[in-house]
Amino acid sequence: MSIDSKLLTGSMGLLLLDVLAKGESYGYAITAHVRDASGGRFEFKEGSLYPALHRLERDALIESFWVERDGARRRKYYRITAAGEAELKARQRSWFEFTAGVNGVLGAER
Amino acid sequence: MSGADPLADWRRELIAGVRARGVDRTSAEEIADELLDHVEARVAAGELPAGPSDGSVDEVLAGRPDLAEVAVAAEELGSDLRRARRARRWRDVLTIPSVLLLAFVGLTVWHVSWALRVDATDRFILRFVDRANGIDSVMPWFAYRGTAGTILAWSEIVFAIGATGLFFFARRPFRRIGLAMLVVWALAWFLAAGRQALREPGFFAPIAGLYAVAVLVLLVRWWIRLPEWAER
Repeated sequence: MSIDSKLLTGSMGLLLLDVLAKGESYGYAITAHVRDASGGRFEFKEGSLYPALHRLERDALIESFWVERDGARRRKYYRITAAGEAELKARQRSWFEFTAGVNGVLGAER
Repeated sequence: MSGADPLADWRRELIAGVRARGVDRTSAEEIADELLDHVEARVAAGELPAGPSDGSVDEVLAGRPDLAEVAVAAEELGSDLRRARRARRWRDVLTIPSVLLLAFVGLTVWHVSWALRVDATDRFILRFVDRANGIDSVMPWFAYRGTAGTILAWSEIVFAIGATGLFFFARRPFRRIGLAMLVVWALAWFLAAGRQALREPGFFAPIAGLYAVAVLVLLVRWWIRLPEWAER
């Protein structure tokens, strides 16, 4: 089943904040986590993942740091900030309200 | 990264391309490293084609320069960046030197025309003049003559050269300042030429039009943003 990419793009910030609330992570690991947790339904592309991460960082909802690795390229990790956690709670509430409304209309909630 | 980087060429290309979009070197290196780390992680995870051996990513990539998907992805990115760099160069050629050329031509025409006006033909009134109740009110600081005019002319030249110099700085804030100076400067010339066009439209209207185009081009250049993935 194909999912409208606009739906995924619109909820990307929420998903990223949620992943990072579980622990610091880096680009590819975030992609893999989201793919696995969504049962393969969501697949972030580099072209949308990094802009979204950089936007969140610019908004001070997450912060980044570099980790040097022996014999390998340095890796950029992201972690959520206090402001990001507050934003995540707000977005989660908004999302649950939204989905409850949509499900109600569609008759998915009995 | 210790040892030779098998993606060194791509990294250089990435950094050069990102920097061509006005990003400073440190940020460009970070963007390149982050994207290349992603590619390497995908190769390590088996999402991109791996080589015949299960060695390190570096070994795989170094031994398989023909890795199709990685190569295509890098080439697409590289060509995109090359196009952006070429486009930016053309924009620079079409804007900065054009505006400078207009400035020098304008200054020269202004000076020559002023010299010709000494015979009091009053055909080209190149001072800023207001006529009220039959009296000319001249604003000498805005006329290119005498000591004040010389200072004004040279200040404009220094201003324009300084703005252009700032525009070629690697750091984006300096470039923005330079561009803003050029916008202000071209706008001032546009307004001045526009005012003179009220008295001598045949001569000054085309000049005012040229400066209007210059202002427009510079403003468009001002609003051209980096692609989001390169934003910091």
